[in-house]
Amino acid sequence: MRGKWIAGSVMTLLVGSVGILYWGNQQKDEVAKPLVVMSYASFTASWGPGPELAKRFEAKTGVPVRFVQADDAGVLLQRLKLVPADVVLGLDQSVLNGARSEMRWLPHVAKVDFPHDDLFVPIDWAPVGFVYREGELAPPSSLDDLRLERFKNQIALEDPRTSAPGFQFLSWIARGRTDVELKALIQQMHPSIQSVSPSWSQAYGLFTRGTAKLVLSYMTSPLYHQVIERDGRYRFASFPEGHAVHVEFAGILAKCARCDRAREFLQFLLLTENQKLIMEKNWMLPVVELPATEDVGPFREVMEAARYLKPKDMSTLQLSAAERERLLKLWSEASP
Amino acid sequence: MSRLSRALVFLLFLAPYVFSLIVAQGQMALPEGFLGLVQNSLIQAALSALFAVALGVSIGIGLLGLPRRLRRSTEAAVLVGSFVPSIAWVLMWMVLLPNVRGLTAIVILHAVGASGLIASAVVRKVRTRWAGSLELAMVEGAPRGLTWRLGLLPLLRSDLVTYLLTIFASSLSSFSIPLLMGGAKAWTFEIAIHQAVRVHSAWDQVAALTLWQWVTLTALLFLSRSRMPLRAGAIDHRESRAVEDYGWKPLVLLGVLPVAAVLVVLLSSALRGVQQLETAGLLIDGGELGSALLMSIFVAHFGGLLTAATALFFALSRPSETERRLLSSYVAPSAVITGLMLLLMRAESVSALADALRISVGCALVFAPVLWRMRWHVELSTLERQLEVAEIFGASAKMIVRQILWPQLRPLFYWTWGVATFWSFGDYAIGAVAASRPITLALLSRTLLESYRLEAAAILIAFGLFLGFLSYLFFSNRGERNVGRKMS
Repeated sequence: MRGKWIAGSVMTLLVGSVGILYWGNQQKDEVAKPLVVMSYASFTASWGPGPELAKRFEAKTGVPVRFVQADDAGVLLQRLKLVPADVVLGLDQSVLNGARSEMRWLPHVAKVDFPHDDLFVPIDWAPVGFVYREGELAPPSSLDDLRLERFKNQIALEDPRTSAPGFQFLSWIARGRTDVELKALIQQMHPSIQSVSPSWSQAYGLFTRGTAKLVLSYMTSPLYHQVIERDGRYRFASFPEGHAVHVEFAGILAKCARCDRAREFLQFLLLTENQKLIMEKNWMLPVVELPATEDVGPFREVMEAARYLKPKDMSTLQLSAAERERLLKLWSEASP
Repeated sequence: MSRLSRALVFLLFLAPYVFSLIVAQGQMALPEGFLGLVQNSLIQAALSALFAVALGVSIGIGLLGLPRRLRRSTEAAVLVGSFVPSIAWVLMWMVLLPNVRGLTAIVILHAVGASGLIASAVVRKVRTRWAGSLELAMVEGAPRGLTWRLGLLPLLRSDLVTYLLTIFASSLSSFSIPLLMGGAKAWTFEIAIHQAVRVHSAWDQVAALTLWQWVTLTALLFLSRSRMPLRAGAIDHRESRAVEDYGWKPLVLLGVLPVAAVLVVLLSSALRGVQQLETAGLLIDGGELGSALLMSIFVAHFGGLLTAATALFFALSRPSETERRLLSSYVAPSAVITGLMLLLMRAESVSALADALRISVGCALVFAPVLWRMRWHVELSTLERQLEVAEIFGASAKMIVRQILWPQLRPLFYWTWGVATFWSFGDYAIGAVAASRPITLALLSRTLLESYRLEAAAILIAFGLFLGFLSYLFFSNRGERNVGRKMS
């Protein structure tokens, strides 16, 4: 009897939940048609910049913004073919060529003093390099240092086949090197590599858990620990030879339902106060100059340090599909 | 009617393949280095399967040696290992054995991850099918080792082949463990599919790879089964003392210790995790966390129910041996393809309900064939004789379902519901593609992981595992309780 009662309750709960969810859905459908923005989950999360940006945009224009999460770039492009959206936010430079060839985009009207083209607007960026904890090891000061004995089994990398920062690392070390030199560098780095993770989050997890002492990450990563965790041990190892950069772009889909509002939204993203919000909640650097009077705390120091690493133009940011293919092949051949 | 039912089930499972072919516009192309890929994948999957089955059977023997109550909870605890996310296994490995990498690490991690499920299946099989034979062996004074070597293991041969194929299939589609443990040279089907989708958008390669994977498994299953008679004793759900005597308790440690180690690693920084949840604002306003919790419970139980119902629906439609084998050989294509295909279900809707339903259906598509292969196929084959006799004596189709099939398949239905619910609690692969926002605990933990908050993600993962554990215990007990009542 008790078993039947429990089974009945479970079924009632399931059916009830469907009913409640359906009712909630009906209620939502009655609200005004929103601007649909597709972006990655940590941008749209409640602790990310997405919800606050949506609130500000609605207050300014009266148009609600609905964020829809996207997986990484390759899946995002397929998802866009199935799911209606007006704006895509978070495409990094390595997928722009693919995005251009697979989808149709509308030109934007945003003005920004940062490399861009007529289809994609940069929204944030950060140099990519190695993060360590002070006191655990003497940091590297160049790519060549990564081959040193003292880094043996200490570096957590991301796989360039599956991760954007991983690919940016590969294109960074390929810069100015012949194929033979690149292969030799990768092979000489083998003993230092502790792990090659499929994603940034996994590599960073291995680092924060202490199984790796150096991780390929962003120049802004130490800021998270400093600001949120009040932990000042995290540092970015600056290389005088320069760094890879990660730039995130936004674009307007040609099949947009609210195209004018989408254009407005891209301009809105570049306003100083919104760039500041993105910087503080997405842990990336702004693509516009924030006034010197603006209080940005420890971000100011990183912004100053990153100034000379800013990309010069779009051509230095992007690689052709063939070049990308060639680098990935070299990586596979030379890797441990 | 039953033919139509079976056709519907096959259509449902074929949908992701048809979808990938449509996206590929009917084109297929093999990636460069395909032979190396096949070689790497097959070696890694075969070794993982062999080791997983050996470990699973050993743990199963250990579980059989425990008294009933302790066995139930220990079985569920051992099963936890099959649901722990791979990153937790990798972290544990890197803490305990930082210098052991490559094929050895991949095989061991696959095996410890899968062994709990095999152990659970072995325990159930021996208890419900061979308890009588063990009583006889006890009366005859047969020693434990000899009974297993000459008696039970040969009798379990067809089940062991099934488990081998199940783990083989899941190892073929493994992703994070080969990449993290095997380094950049790691090259498996799932990695190749991932690369084709995410890096190159080469859907012609995706279609070819998924189809090749499926055809390989189908061929293996048909070849192995044609030489393997299915054997089973009569179903007997009495608790037999002989079963306990022929188990060997210490072997349980092989299953319990790795699970304990992985849970310790997962929760070793729980305090920091709570702080991270707080800084993410998830503890200040509990709404998001609460809604993710409720949604997880709904998605997991509904996904579990759909999985169990699909298997039961197919079983009650009286499939032929070939049809049963076909479903056993089915491997759901990559979660990316299944997730994208599910977007065809009201793609424009971003409501939580639509997201939840998509994830639940996706879980059923992925889990139903795995669990069918593991237990339903063999179980149904062993009932064939009874069905034939019933038909000869003129039993109607309705009577066969009500008096023979349902009473004997009911425990399996609940077990399937429990296992699939446990699995669905942890799904983020399908949800990341099919859902429009992080509506479940698993998706929320993935988002936290992408926002520097590993420890907070670990807490949510552990909480999801705990809920899955409770659900599994509930359904598994319910299935067995019903049988006891029916039998008495």
